[in-house]
Amino acid sequence: MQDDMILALIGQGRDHTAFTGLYAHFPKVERLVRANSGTKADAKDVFQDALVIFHRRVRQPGFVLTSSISTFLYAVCRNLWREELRKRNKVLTGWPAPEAADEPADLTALLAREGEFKQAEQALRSLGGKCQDLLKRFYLLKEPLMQIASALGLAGEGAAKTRKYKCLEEARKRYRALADAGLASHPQHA
Amino acid sequence: MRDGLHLMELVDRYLDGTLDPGERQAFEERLRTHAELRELLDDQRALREGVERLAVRALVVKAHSGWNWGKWKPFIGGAAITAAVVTGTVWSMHAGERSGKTVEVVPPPIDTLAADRTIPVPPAEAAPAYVITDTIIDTVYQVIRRIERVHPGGPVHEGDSASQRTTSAAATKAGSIMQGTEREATGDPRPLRSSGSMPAYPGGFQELHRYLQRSIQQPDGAACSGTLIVAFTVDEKGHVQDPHVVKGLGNACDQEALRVVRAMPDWIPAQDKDGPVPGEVSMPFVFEFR
Repeated sequence: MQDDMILALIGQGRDHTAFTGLYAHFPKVERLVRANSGTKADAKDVFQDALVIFHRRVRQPGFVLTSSISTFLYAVCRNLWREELRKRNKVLTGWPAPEAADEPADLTALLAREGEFKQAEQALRSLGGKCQDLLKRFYLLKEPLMQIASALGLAGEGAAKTRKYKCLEEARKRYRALADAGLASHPQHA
Repeated sequence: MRDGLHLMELVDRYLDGTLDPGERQAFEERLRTHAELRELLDDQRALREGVERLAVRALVVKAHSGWNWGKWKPFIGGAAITAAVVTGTVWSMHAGERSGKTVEVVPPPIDTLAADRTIPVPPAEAAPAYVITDTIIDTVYQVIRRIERVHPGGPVHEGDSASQRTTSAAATKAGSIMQGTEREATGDPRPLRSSGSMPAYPGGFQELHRYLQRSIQQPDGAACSGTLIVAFTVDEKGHVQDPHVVKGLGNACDQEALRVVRAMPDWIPAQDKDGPVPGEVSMPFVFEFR
């Protein structure tokens, strides 16, 4: 699928079609990861992250695509995988040199920011389904508290509000723990 | 806990931009002097982003299984995409204006295949709901307008197909495109704020997809890729009338789309409170014939 069509689909909110088309770029990433001490499952994780990052970037106001989608995804995956290998303390041999020319200029900053958001995502995922459901309804679907309460079987608006607070409070605790652990293992970022 | 809850709500409203100017100023003043509040703001912002990532990741995971399946699927007629039917968001009708006008609808933009590669970003609050189906040809009927019944003494519009056609084309050009509601997927008559329903394909989206999947064939030797839109009227009896290409690819695929629309079974006509009325439908096709 052409880049323009992918962007148009995401613009229309037809994300499933867009993502399915984007998976055409997966084999190249799989080759990269497997050639550098990774497995197919590693490649899948990395590619999934890259798609999430790409989607969020496209949805940002004022977004302009400065390279082809393929280049962008590959660059993101390469960086994510390099970071992952560093975490695993692998020695990098024969790592493909960064292709400075086609790498988006602000990629490092973007990935650092998205890395934090990913920790927040992990913290939220560890909370369990009900909290996730509640927060999605509240923040993304913008459902009124009353509606959320009845959908989740809570006593009323007040109960939904309190539950939301507790979920967010717990998520914050776990998020802080993840972020602090991340800093400890990466003194260079501290 | 009350304080914590209150503070968290304040941060949410700050991030949503819904504090009034006085509150906002006070909040920013407090941010300058209280490090804990800055931390709370940062964390809460990250968590809100995290919630969004959760939702996006769920879609990615779903698409991955779709892709895995699609890879091995024998390509029918060379068309190869998997489709998501987006259902969406808003019906806004100017109901009550019953002077023989057509019902107006709200526009998510469709024609976003802009050459400059920038795309309009839909407002965040229009979070779509999804009905996912796997099909070959991706199409969703998007513009549906009901022609309002003319009351005795009012201007005559009903049955005036020339004027319907003009308004339809104009509306489509202006991006007056409405996406369906989730109920279409089940074939329910569409609920309107006023009474009645919009034209619907018998059996809903699923059946429409099945029909298209069976019917669409690659025109001989034609390679086409892109979005084309066919508009037509569904009359009071449900017959498909006057199909025409609103936005074409300029080749044999236009003819193929028209052929398939013409051969389509009868629809369920739109209803207003007095019975069936004509309605207009605009149906986009995404072609990937190589």
